[in-house]
Amino acid sequence: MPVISATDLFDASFLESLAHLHLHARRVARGGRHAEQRSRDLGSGIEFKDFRAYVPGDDFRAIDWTIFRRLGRVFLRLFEELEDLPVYLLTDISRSMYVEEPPRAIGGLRAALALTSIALNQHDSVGLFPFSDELEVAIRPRSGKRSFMRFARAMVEFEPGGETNLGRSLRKLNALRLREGLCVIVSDFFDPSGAKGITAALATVRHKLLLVQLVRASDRKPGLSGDLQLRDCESGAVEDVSATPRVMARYQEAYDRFQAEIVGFARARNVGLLQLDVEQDVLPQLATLFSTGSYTV
Amino acid sequence: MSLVNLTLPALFAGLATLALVLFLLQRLRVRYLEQTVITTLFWKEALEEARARVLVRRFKHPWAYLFVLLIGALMWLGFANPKISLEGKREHVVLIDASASMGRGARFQESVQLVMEHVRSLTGESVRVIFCGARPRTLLQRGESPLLLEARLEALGPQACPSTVDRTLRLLSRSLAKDHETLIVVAGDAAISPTVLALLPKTVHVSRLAPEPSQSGRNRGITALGFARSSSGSFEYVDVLCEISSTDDQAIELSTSIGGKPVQLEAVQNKEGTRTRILLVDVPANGELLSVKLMGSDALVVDDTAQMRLPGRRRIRVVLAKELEASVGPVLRVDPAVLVVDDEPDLRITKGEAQGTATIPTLSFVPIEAQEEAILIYHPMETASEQVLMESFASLGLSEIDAMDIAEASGRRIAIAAIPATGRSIAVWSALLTERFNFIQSRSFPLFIARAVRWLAQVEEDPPFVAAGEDLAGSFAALTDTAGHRLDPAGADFRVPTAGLYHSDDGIVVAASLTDLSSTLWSNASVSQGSKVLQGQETEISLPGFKLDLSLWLAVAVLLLLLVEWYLHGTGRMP
Repeated sequence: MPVISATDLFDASFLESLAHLHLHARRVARGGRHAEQRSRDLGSGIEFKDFRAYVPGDDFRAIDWTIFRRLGRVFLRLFEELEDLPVYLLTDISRSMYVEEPPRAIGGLRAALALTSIALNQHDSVGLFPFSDELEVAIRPRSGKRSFMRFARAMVEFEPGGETNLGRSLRKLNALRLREGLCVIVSDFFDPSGAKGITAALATVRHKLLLVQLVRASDRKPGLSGDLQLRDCESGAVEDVSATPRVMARYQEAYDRFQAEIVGFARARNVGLLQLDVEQDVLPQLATLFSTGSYTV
Repeated sequence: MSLVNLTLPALFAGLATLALVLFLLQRLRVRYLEQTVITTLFWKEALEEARARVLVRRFKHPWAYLFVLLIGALMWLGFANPKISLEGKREHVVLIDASASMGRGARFQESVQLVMEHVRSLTGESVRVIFCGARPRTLLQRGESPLLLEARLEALGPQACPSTVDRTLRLLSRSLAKDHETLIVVAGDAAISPTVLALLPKTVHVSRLAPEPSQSGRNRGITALGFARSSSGSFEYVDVLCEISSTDDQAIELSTSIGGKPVQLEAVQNKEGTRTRILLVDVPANGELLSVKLMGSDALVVDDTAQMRLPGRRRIRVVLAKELEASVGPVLRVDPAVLVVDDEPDLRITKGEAQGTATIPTLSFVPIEAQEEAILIYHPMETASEQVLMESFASLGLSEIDAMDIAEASGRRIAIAAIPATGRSIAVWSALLTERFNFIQSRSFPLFIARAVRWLAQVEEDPPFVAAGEDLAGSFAALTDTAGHRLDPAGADFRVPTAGLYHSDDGIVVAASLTDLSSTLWSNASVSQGSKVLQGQETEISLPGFKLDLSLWLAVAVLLLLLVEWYLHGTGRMP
C-alpha cells in the first residue's frame, strides 16, 4: 500500500488558493456556536428579526424602550443569530482507495482537506469521520484555524480499511445525533450493495449532502482483454472473465447505469455532486463547486 | 492435387485429431491472467452468468478456435506436402537413355544427375520419368516425389543393349494425349530417328538433355557375329563371320574360345576402312558356345566381347532300301548331311511298306493304288494337320514340285495330305520314281529328298545370329534369361533385350551379343550437345526460373493468420 505524506495533501500554495473560497449556508440549525452563518436562532445578532413580549429573566439590553414609551408595554427586540455550520467529512478509506497509482485516497483527502481549510477559515466546525466497513470518529467537530494541522495529521495517519459499507457507516453517523450540518462524503462509492444500496443509505442522512465521487477514466474503460481472473481488492472475491468486446460493452453499460443512479439521486434530492478525476489536479475541479467564490448549502 | 508425405486418409485423420485436440484444449483452458481490480461490482453485471470453477468449461471462443484450427490445419497440410497436378495443362516426360553407349566413362551418372536437377526444378508439374534400358519402364509416375526417383535410380545403370528411346517414343506417340502440351526430354546420347519424331503429335516437343561433351576415346567393337554353312561343304562345320568396327584405323587382335576353351581358328580377314570382317573357317558345329573377344582396352567394354551358340550338327544316318539305290541313292550320297548306313539309322527310306505306325521315321514309296494322295505326310498328334500341311510346302520343298506336269502324266489329281500318326513318316507314290514321270529328273527331286530327310530327322535350323535388341531369327518357344525373366513370344517378346545367355524351354542355350553399330561408333559429334531442341518449337529446355512451392504458400498463409490473430488479440476483439 502506498504511504501518503503531508506533502501529498497540501502545500502553501494549495492553502493560499483556498483563501477566497467560502461555504455559505442558507440557514444553519439552532444550537451552534457564534460564527458567521445565518441561523434559525434569534439572539444578539446584527440583523433585526422580530419583537416579542418581555418575560422575566430577559436581558434588559434587548428591551425596545421606544415601544415602551409609546405603548407602555415592554417588548424585546429580536435579532438573527450568526452561528457556525458543522461540516462532517466522511472520507472513504476502504482498500480500493489505496490500490492504484496514483491512489484515489490522495485526491480524496486533498479535497477533504481543502473543504476543511475553507470551513475552518470561516469559523465553522469540522468533524472527520473516516469510513470503510465501519464509520470511525477521527476528530469530533471542532473549529479554529489552528486545528487545520490536526486534521492534516489525522488524514496522513489513516490506515487502509476493509470493504466499503456505506449503509452501515451512515447508520452510525445518524446514531451519533450530530447537529444538522453539511455532510461531505468523499468516496468512490464502489459499495458491494450497488447503486440502489448507496442511494438508499444516502437517503437516510439528516444532513445536507455533498458527494465527492472519486473517479478515473479507467473506471469506465478498464483496458482489459483476454481471459482474466479478476480479484476484488477489497473483498478478495474472484471473478473469471473473458474480456471479449461483448463483455466489455456490457461492463460499460453497467458502469453507466451506476453513474446514472448516483447522478439521478443527486438531482432528485438537490444534493451537491462533484465527480473528481483523481488523475487531474484537485483544486480546479473543486473550484467548479464554488462558482462565485462560495458554495451555498 | 496429390500429397507427397501423407496419404489422403492420413491427412483427414490428422485434421480430425487436430480439431479434437484443440477443442479439448479450449475446454480445458483454465489458466487465466490474474488482475486485481478495485471492484468486481460491474463485472458481475457484465457477465451473463456466474460460472462455476470446474475442470471442463463451456466452449466459449468459436472464432479463436477456428483460427487456431485453421492455422493448425494449414501447417498439417504443409507437412503433407501437397502437389498440384497440372494434368490437362502440361506434362513432362523424361526418357533416360540407358543403352550400352551410356557406359562410356561416367556419362550415365552425369546424365542421371542432370535428370534429377531437371525433375526437381519441375516442382508442382506433372512429370513422368521413363528408364529406357533393355525393357523400358516407368520410374516415376505423375505426382510422385523426386526423392523416389533418386532411390529408384540408385541400383540402375547402362545395360548391354541398343538404344530403346526410339521404341519408347513410338509407344508414347500412341498414348500421349493430344489435347495438351507434352515436353519430352531425352536424357542421354541415344540417336533419335526422324521417322519416329514425325510420328509424334504436334503438341509434343522433344528436346535433349545431355552431359557436357567429353573425350569419348578410341573404340572398336564387334558389330556382327553369325554363322553360315561351311564353304568347305562339310555339314558338321560352319563358317563364322565376325565384323569389327572401330572409330579409327587400328590393328585388330581377336581371341576365340569354344565351350570355354581357347581355340585357334583359321581366319580370313578383310578390311575396308574402319570395318574389318573376319571369317572363321570350319568351326566345329558342336552346339557349344563360341566366344569372340577383342584384345586390348578401349572406351566401351561391353562391345569387345560377343558370344553365339554354334549349331549342333550330326550327319543323319539313313538306311536305304536296295530297290531305291538307283533312284534315291545318288541324291543321298551327295548330301553332306546324310550318311547312308546299314544299321542304327535315324530314318529309313523304303518302298511299299505300311506307314503311320513305323517306330523309325520313314520315307516310303508306295504303290499308286495304296493311297489317293501323291504325298501323304504322317505327323505327330501334337501338331495340327493343317499347320503341318502349310509348313510342308516350305520345309519339304513341295512348292518346287511341278505338280501340273505330274498330274498330266499320271492322269490323276495330284493331292497332298497330312494326317496324325504316332511318328513322322512320308508316303509318296512310287510311280513318281519311274521314267513315266519327270520327277526324278527334275531339280525339285534332290531338294525334296534332302528336305524330307531333314524333316524326318527333325533337324532344326539354328538362328545364324542372335543380337540384343533385334528380332529373333529362330523359332524358340520361350526364352528365360539368367535372372529368371521369361521372354514369351506369346507376350510379344520377339527379341532378346540384352546381351547374355538365355535358355529355351527345350533346353537350348542361346547366346545374344551386343552388336550395335551406333553404340560402338558413338561420338560426341553424333549427338546434339547440351540442351538442344530436336523437334517442336524452338524452346530450350526451360528450367522454370521462379516457382513457388505450395508448401511455401501455406507457410505464408499461416503467418498472415497469425498476424491477423495477433491484431485481433491486441485490439481486444479476440481473447
